Amino acid sequence: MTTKVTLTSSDNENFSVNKEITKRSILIKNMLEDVGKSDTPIPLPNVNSKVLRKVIEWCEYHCMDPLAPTNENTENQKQNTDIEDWDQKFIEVDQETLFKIILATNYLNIKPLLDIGCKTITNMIKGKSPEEIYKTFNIVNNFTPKEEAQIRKENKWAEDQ
Amino acid sequence: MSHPALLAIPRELTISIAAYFPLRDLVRLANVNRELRSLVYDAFDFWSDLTLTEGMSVEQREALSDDMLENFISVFTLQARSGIHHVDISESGPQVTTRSVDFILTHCPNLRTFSLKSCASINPDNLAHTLTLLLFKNPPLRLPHLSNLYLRNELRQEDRILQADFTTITTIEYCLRTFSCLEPSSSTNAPATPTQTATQTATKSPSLKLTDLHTCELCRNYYAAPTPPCSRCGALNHSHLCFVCQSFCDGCFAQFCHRCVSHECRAVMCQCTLKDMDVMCYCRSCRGGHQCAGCGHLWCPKHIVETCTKCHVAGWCQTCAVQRGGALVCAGCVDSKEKMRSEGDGKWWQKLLRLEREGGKGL
Repeated sequence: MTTKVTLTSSDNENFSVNKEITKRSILIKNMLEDVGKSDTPIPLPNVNSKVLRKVIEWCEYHCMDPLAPTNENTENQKQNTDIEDWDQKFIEVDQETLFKIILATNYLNIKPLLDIGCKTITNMIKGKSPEEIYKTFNIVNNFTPKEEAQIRKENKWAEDQ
Repeated sequence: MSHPALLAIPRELTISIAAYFPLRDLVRLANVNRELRSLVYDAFDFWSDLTLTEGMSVEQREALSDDMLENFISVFTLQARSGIHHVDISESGPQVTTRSVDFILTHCPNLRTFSLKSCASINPDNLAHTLTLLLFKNPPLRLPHLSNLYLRNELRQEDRILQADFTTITTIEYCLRTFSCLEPSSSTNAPATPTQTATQTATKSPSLKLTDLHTCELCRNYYAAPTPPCSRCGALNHSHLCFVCQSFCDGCFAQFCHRCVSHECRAVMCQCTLKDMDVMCYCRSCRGGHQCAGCGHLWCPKHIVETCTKCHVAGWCQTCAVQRGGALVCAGCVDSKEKMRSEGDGKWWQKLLRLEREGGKGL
């Protein structure tokens, strides 16, 4: 029985990965169930080799973790944005790669890694003023000065103590 | 310049990211630019829990007003507003009035719980009045998911008890039941006044309650809290008593029946009215920290904080401690001459009462 599966990235690089590890991705798990015992490489046209390598690294490290429940209550997740040490180190990448990992994990349907990515972005934004958010994410403030003044006035209560 | 990654990712991912944000960070995110503002105030799932006053400083709570709340909720799209399930404006300052209650009830169609505990300007009486006015709104106000309105504060730690008699409580209850479609709002005959119908409603199905307010079974003047059985004999004579009619130790809050309280508890000497018309008392196990090392009487925490600067013994009441040159010295350490002089100045509690009447903060 074959225990390895081949994943092909968007830039045509092949990755031979343990089948159990790839089952962290719901997309790949469903694909494997559909194709049965075929050895055909699984194409992942939305993930490049750099990002896929990172994702595989994460899946290998977390291969023994219990599978996360699919429908978590968003109200409960609000409070906790803590990230484990290893994951914290793993996700220390440039902003572009971070967003690519988020997009890839969303496509591959790996919820725990998607959560880590989202929490990382959240932690980058939390407690920051709008000005700091513009700078961090290179966003342009497209409010008119009048609108901005009005918004500031209305939301004064939400400012830091 | 390339499009910023935060705005380039699919909307559902931005929503997943923002779902981790506490309320105030969400508001700040919405103030970044138009795209984010529209995303934040249009999303159904961000605003389920609007706990507005949590984490606010006293100054912020004082500054929070009806206008601010109205402006804030007005920005929401109908979709976002229909996602609001819980609103909490507890402990808001004096500028938040029943106008906000009216606004929130009429703008959050799927509201489930509404918390108004310890609001400076909202009390059961003016709330009953506001809800009664809402009854006559056209089209009629409907809140089919409303299940709880929280008003009862943790009175054991509060220094005031709000009056909420039987009529007020039943009026509030009746209005809420009408909004939540538990009871028809009007009959085909001439409509009864809210108070009359409220009484009928309360008798029809007393088990269905949408507020946490119960009328005190003894005095019927204040709202009551669930009353545990007596800690000594286990008797439960009344399941809901107000905090004036309850008898409990002010140290550990153990409940006692009227018979056992005299065996277990002793009243403090200072006659502090932390509970309206009621004197604080302590049970046997709580007396240690409240008993004066000098006279042996019990005192409330406000009046048993003195530590003698000479013998360093703590737990002297202010009668037994004498202020000398800025340092506190207990009766045991001070010489009799000084003690007599200080006694001649008048009792400490007489000074305290005088100062309080004059608007001072105490000794």
